[in-house]
Amino acid sequence: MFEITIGSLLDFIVNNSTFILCMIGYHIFYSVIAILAATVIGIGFGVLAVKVRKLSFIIYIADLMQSAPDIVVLALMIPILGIGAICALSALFIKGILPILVNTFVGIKIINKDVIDSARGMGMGKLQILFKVEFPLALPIILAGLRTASVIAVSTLTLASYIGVDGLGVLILRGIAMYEGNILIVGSFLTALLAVCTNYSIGYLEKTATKWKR
Amino acid sequence: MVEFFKYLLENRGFLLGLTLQHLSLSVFSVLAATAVGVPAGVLVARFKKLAPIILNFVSITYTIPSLAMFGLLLPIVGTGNIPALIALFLYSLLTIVRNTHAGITNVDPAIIEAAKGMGMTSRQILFKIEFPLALAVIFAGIRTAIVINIGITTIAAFIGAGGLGRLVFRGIYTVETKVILAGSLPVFFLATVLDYIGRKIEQRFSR
Repeated sequence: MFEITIGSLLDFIVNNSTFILCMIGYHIFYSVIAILAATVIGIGFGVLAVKVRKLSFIIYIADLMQSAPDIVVLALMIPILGIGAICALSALFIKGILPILVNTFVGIKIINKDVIDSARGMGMGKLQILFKVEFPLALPIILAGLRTASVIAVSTLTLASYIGVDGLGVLILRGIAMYEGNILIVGSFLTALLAVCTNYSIGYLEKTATKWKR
Repeated sequence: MVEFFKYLLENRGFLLGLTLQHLSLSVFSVLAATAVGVPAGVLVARFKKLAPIILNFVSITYTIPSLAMFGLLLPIVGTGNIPALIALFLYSLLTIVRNTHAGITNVDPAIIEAAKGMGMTSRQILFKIEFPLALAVIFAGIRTAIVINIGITTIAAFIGAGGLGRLVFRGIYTVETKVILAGSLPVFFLATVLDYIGRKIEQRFSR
């Protein structure tokens, strides 16, 4: 495993560039699908939970479930959905929806009642208030939830390679199985890079979305 | 269902051993991270200039997926418990440093002014005022770190560490649902129970 040099790493990358790019592509593709679904349903249910008092308990449960380890959620999906992409996407969806759900709820809940009152006083209907006042004000917090969810998605998808899902995890697992340091390092480094980039890019989105605050 | 409980009963010794291994890995790494992270958090709170460097480094470390972190550590330290402990240590650092920093910077400046007025030195202020007031937040960081580490320790089993993750992977590999459950459910319960106990202890601190 220790026969790693810059040369051998570059050798591996150049010789397998198509494969590596494919795996990166799969990884991003699966993560995006899961997070997109989680965002749509998460924000939808989050808003619902704020407006309908009785549904608030969902948030309490979601908050409790957030501490469930990634691998456990994935492993518990396997008896139900078998191994493969569907199972992985479901696990990503479940893990990703929790931060978005909770943050949407919290983001809208903490809006100052006076702001809503003045909007109502200006003659805005409920839907208008939702889209023109509540969403923009809650956006920073919702985006923070989105950021958390995305990083968790990238991270959990790496694990899913153990059950046959294509992605950067394949490089890591193959490197460990073949005791080949080059594949391992390239896989790990690219995964780390992807996660950090996802974190920073959505973080940047967060900052631009809150420009109006300054 | 019945099979599952039979399996638990038949292997309860093994399960207990794995649980203890699991807990040791998670808790020791957090203790080490506390020893390093709390002073680091205090440093960051004191010297604003260090803040970006330390917080950024710790943030980036935290974002790296666990399997990738293990992958990077394997060529350096080999397999087994050592890479697991190192990775768990690094992951707990962010939570603890950030919470210590937040806890100390959120102490009411008026109280610090009063302490200075009474003639306390910086060190006395730190130990007699800032720490006790920040304790709840710092402990929240420790609690979060332990819960997160319990999850990551499960993954560490893949690279040869001990712990309940061994059962999880064995279950997936042999396609045995009861083994997967025997590994995952204890982890889930450990995380939830420790989180709950931690929150109760925190409430004591914030009085």
